[in-house]
Amino acid sequence: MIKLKRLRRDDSLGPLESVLFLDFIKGLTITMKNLLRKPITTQYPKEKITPPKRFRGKHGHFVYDGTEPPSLQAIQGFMSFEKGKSRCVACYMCQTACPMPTLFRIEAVQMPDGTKKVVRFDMNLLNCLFCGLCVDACPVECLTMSDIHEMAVYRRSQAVIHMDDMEKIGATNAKTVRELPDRIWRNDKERETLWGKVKWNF
Amino acid sequence: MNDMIFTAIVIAVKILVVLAVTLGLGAYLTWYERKFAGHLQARRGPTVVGPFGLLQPLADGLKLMTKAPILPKGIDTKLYYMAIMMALVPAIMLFAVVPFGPSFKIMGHEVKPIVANLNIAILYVFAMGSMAAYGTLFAGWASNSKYAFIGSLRKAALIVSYEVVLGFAALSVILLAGSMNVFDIVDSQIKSGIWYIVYQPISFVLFLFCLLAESGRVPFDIQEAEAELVTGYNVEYGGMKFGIFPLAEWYLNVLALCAIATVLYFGGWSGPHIFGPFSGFIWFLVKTFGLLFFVLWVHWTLPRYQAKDVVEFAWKYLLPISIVNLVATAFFVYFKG
Amino acid sequence: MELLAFVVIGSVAIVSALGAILVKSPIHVMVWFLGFILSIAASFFALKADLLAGLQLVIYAVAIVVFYVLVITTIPWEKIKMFEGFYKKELIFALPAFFLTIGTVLYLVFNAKLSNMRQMLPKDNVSALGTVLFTKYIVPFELASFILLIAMIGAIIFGKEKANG
Repeated sequence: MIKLKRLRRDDSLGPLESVLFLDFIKGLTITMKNLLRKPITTQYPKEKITPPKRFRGKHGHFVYDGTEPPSLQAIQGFMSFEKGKSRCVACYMCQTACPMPTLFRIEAVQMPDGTKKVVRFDMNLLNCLFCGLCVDACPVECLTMSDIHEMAVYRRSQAVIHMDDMEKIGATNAKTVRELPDRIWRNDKERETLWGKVKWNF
Repeated sequence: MNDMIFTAIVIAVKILVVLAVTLGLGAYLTWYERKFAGHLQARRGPTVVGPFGLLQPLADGLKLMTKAPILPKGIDTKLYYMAIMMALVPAIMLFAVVPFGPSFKIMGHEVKPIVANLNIAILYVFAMGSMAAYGTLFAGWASNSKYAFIGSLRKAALIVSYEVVLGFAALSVILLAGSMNVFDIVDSQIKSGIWYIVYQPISFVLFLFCLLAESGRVPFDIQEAEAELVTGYNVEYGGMKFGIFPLAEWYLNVLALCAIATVLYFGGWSGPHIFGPFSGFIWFLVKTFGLLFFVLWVHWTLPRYQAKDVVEFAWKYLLPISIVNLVATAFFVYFKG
Repeated sequence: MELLAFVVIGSVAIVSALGAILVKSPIHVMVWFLGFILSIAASFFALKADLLAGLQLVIYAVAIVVFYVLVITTIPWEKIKMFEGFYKKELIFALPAFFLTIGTVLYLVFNAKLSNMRQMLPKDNVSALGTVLFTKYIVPFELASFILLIAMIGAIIFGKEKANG
C-alpha cells in the first residue's frame, strides 16, 4: 500500500530540515534514481505502441461476412448486401447521435428488386471529435472505431473518408482491435480487486 | 626582444585556446544539458542527429542562424543589438582569470595557463559576474515589452542582492588564503593539504546559492520564469540573437563560476598524479564538471522560488549568515596566526 | 607600448564622456557613462593599479550604474515632457567654471611634476593599500564609513516618510 504523508500548506519545515536542506536532498535523490533508470519513452516514428482496445481512432465499417448480430439477421432480406462489403443499413442513427450535424453524408437507393442499397457513406473527420456516440448508436454493429491515429493529410478533401476506406479498415484494423483483450478490465475478478464488488440495488 | 615576442605569442595562443574551448564547450553544454535533463526525467534527450545526438548543437546553431531576423516594433535598435554583446562579453571575460592547471615550462620560460594573472582575480570575478546584468537589463528595456522588462528588473534586483552575499562568502576564503590571486589560493591549499571546503562549508553553500542566482539557474531563475514571464528578458529576441543569451548566461557564466568555485573550495588542480603530465588539468576539469553536474542536477529537480522570496532570502538570511561566517573566520585567522 | 595603451584608453574615455553629455536619451547616457567608467578601470589596469581597477569595476561599473539604470529604466519617459532647446542661462553661468577647470588642468600639465609610479608601486598592491588604509589613514577611513552610514540611515528615514505620507 502506498503511504501518503499529508501536509497542510502552512506547515513549515522543522529546524533540522531547513538547515540541512533535507527536502532538497529528497528531491535530488528522486531525480538521481530516474537518471539511473532506463528511459521509458518510445522513439515514435521508429517504434509505435499499440493503442488500447478502447482507443477511439479512425472509423471503420464491419463487413457482411456471416458474423452479423441477430438485429441484422432479422432484416438482411430487405437489404442488398454483398459478401465483403459494408453491412450498413442506412438507418441514419449515427447521424442522429452525432453532435456535429454536418459530419455524415449517407445516401441509399432502392434497387429494382425492392431491396435497399447504401451508395454513399462519407464522414468528414475534420468535424469529428471522436466521442464514439455514432458507434454506440449503430443498431447493426456496423460502424466501429479502429486504432488508427495517424490521420494527418495534405488537403482538406483528403480528410473525408468514404465507404470503401471504412470497409477496408473494418476488415483489417477494426477486426484486430475487436479480437484484442481488454487491457483495462481483463475480467470481472480483476475489476473487483481494483474497485470493489459492485452492489446492485434490486 | 625575443622574450617579448615569445610573451606576445603565448598570450595570443592562450586567448585563442580559451575562446575556442569555452565557446565550443558552451555549445556542447547545450547537448549535455538536454541529454542530462532527458535522462533525469526518464527520457532520452537528443538521439537523432549523429551518434547519441552529438551533432545536435551544430544543427541547433544552423537552425538559429537561418531563422528570419525579426525586429519587434518600437524597440531601441542600437541598444537591442548592443545588449547581446553586453551579455556575452562579460561571460567570456570571466574565463580570463580561470587557472586551468599548474604552471609549466616551454623553452625555458615559465607559462601559467591563465590569460591574465591578476592580483585581484576574485574581485574581477565579482565585477564581471555582475556586469552580465547589463546585458539583461538593456535587453529587457530595449525590446519594448512588458514581460522582457519585468524579467530584466528581476534580474537586476537579483544580481545586486546576491553579489553582496557572493563577495562576503568568497571573502572568508580569501582571508584564509591571504591573497586574491587564484594561483596563491590554490598553492596555499596544496601546501596545507586541506581544501578550503573543509574549513568553510557554510561559505561554500552560500557561494553555491549565489552561483545559481547569478547564472539564472533554478531555484533562482525568476528572471526567466517561464510560467509568468514567457521567457523573461529575451522574449523579443529571435534566431541566433536569442541563442546568445542562454549561451552566455546558462553555460559560459555557470562554467566560469564553477571553475572559480573549484579554485576557491576544491583546491584547483590539486590531486594525485595519476594521469601523467596532464593530471593537474584533468583534475581541474573533473572538479569543475562535477560542480556543473550538480548545478544541472539542481536545475532539473527543484521548483522555483517566488520573486519576492528570492531577494528577501538574500538580504535577510544569506547576508547575515555570511557576515557572521566572515567574522568567525577573521577571528580564527587572527588567533591562529 | 604604455603610451599606446594610454592614448587608446584615454581617447575612449574622452569620447564616451562627451557622449554621456551630448546624447539625448537618458538610457544612452547611461551606456556612454558605463563606457567611460570602464575605460577609467582599464587605465588603472594599464597603470598596474589592480586593486583600484577592481574596485572601480565592482563599485562604480556594477553597483552604482546598475542602480542608475534601474531607476532610469523604470521612469516612463514617454510621459515626461522633455526640454527641447538650448540651455542659454546655464551655459553663461557655466563658462567661468569651464575656463577655470581648463586653466587648472593646463597648469597641472605644464608645471606639475608627475611622480614616477613604477618605482613606488609595490607588487602586491592589495595588501599594501590595506596596510596603509588601516594604519596611517584609519581615522579618515572610519570617518568616511561613518558618514556613509549616516547617509544610509537618512535615506531610509526619508523613504519611510514618503511611503507613510
